[in-house]
Amino acid sequence: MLIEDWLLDILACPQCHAPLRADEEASELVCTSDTCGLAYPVRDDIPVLLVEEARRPGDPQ
Amino acid sequence: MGDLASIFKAYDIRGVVPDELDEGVAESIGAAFAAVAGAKTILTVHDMRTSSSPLADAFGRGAASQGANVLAAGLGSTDMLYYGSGDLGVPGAMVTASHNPPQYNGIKLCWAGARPVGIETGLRDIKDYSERSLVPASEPGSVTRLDLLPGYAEYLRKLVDISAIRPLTVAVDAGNGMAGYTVPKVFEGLPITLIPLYFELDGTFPNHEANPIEPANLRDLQQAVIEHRADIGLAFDGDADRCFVVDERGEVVSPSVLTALIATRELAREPGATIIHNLITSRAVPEIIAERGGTAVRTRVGHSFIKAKMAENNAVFGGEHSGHFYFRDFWFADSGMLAALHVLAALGGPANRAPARPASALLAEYSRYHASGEINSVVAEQAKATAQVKEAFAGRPGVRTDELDGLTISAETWWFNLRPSNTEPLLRLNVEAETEDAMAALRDEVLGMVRKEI
Repeated sequence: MLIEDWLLDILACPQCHAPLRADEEASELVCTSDTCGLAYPVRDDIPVLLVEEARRPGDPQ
Repeated sequence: MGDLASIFKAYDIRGVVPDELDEGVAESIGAAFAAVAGAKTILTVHDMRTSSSPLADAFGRGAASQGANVLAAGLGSTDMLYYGSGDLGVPGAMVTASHNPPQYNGIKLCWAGARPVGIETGLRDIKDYSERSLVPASEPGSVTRLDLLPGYAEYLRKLVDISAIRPLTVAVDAGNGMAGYTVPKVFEGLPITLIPLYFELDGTFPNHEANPIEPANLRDLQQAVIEHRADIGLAFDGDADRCFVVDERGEVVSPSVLTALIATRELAREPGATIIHNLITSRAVPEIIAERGGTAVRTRVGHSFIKAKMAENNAVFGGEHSGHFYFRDFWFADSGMLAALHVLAALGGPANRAPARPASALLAEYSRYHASGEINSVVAEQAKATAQVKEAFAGRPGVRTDELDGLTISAETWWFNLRPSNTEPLLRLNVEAETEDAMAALRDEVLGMVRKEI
């Protein structure tokens, strides 16, 4: 997974607007807010920042 | 590449799919937009027309071929494009033909910060670039899917907080357009009982044309308001940037009245602020702005003139008779949804309690004169007909003339404006007077002059 810095600079969590961090291992972009924490998939190098496609913290991948 | 001149209009791109606008054309325009913008990142949004999603993808492919990273927001309204462009600081494109029939589609563009793109502000360059074969970038841009709806809804709800209004029943006619997607999210959890009409996204418009400026398209909403005893009715156009209002009696509220209401609210928040109105809005609008201590600035009709004047004067708000409402807090762009929230806040908020007045009574103070509405006449020689009207009125006592946009003739108790359409052989007449009879007499007199040679 290759997530460029510009993407993390410009984008925020669509649900709560907190910054995102890249989780290379899980191939996800993860919301850094403690109360939200949604994890968004990156499929075929396309980050999918859609709330309905996101994984809630604690849910299995 | 065929002739693109016919689909590039004054403010956007519109054409019949696929004859005039297909994926190949959209891809070329996307590449041209990215090249002219010189931007690292662009945003795409599209409406519910069947051709919109493939056209948005093609536009994105074109932009990516020029090295731009594409944020693909998917379904959304035109004001959601402005929100995304403003919030993220990137240029963007909305694939929509607004209220046009199903066989049409089009593209509305904006520069970073939701700044307008018109024929004089970049659209001509984009057309010229679209007609060339552009050399692809050595490395194409990436694509990111992005959900704008939650952020859009939250942003609007922060600008006009209606969480503490009294419970209201609100009928909404989305006309099978994008309001069917945005309204449920914006109204979520608010003290509103929603009566939804035509919320299913359907680009074939099976119920009525998604153009609420035409009275026929408001009939279902008027009926629903009465039937459900709703406090108010809202109607949006296909891409949900324009909003019209129906009061609790089922009567259509003039956009001039809404302009005066929102102006009053904005002036309470920011005393002395400047407010823009186009020259077709009621004379009551500048009167009410002045009475509330504000500065009213009159402009020509049209998106780009209003936005330019707003920025030039740092105006807090602007309104047009066509149902477009522009806000400084919304990057000087227009949002029908934000206008609707203002109306709901005024109707349900603390200033309208004990006793709570119905919408018709609340809005009555903003309605002072009688307006004809816009009346079109097919006239081949527009300039000649206009000159004849000007000459006929010029010698009358107390009459003033101005030509800011078409011809405006005004006197103490009435005014009218006659302006040509940019695209069709039409003259558009608007008349306003102190009484219904005076308005009708003046309207018929001017129409008689305009139409005498037909």
